[in-house]
Amino acid sequence: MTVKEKQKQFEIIYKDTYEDIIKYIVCHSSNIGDVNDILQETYLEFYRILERKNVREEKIGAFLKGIAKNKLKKHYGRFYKIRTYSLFFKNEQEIEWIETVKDDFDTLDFVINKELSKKVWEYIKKKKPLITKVFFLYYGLDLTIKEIANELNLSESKVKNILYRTLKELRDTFGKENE
Amino acid sequence: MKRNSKIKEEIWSDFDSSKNFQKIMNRTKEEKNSSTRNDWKIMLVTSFVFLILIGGFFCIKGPIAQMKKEKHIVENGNFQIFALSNSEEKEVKKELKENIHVPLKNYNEAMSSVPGFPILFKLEGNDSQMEIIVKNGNIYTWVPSSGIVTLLGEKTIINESQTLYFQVQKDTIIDIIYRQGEKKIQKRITIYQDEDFNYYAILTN
Repeated sequence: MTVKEKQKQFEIIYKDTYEDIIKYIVCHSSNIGDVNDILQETYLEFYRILERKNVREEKIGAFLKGIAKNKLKKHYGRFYKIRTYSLFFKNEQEIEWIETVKDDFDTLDFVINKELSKKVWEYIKKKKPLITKVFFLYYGLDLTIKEIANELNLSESKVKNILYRTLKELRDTFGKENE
Repeated sequence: MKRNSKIKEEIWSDFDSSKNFQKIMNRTKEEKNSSTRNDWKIMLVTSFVFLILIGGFFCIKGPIAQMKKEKHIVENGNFQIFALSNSEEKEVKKELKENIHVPLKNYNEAMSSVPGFPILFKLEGNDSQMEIIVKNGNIYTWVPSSGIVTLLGEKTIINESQTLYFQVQKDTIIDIIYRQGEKKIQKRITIYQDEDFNYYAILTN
């Protein structure tokens, strides 16, 4: 394969796997601000490997995730595993548990313009990493509650609660701007 | 339920696929350029080191050779000692070197006009001096043209190259003290006879 052919192949793989890899990195990073760097490192490493040898197409997804995992470990150091779990929620009491969350709780209808959506997203990014992740997976990747629970190894009720609480907070904070 | 698309747009503006792709491509180019530059650097450094090693080798080789030569000179001084054949027609020189047994041509005192075993002491340098002391023998000089033989006894001092003749007995020892300035070197020539009555000379410290 020539260099151009390799580049073309890389571009195709990149487009096909981008969303999946972003999801993986978001779910396993402890700071949403690190995601782009880790993503670039992952694909850069993959590019270097692709220059040297051929990679089997059916294994590319898993292969890329393996690289991403290594990059995450390298980025966060030996305490990476601890960080991704125990430091996110030191105390479960921090989440205000709502006993019953209605299924139609998802109402970001007050966000009607770009300026407000920017403010909302900036606000969310400053929240605890798990909240940011849930928000990203729900609104960015359109995952269901069940799928988010699987990705983050949480119960569905927990995911629901996080979303409901965050949305309530957003409505209280930004909902008045549209009034 | 339809989710808010504006939020979705805003989220993905932070993770723009094209922007990330461009950054990745830029980094691959930078790495290639850096790798080429590094290759050149490595080549230059390697060549430089190689040249230094080669140059160093030749620089050292000269002094080492010079040191060896000087060692030789220091060991033997600026002098050489030759055992001569006592043939009057043709002079054959055999240099006496340390620990090497040099056969001396058969010499019959009664039948030869030469007064003894001829040994040439070749001195170099203006201020060279050699003191020669013999045990169990005598030192002579001889002028072949006139046939005049002069007995020097058991000890003599020469300041220039000269052939001396040694009357020997069974084991004759010739001690040599060479001086040149502050330099002083002592050697010993042992002349001995084997079972077949052949004479040999050996130079030692």
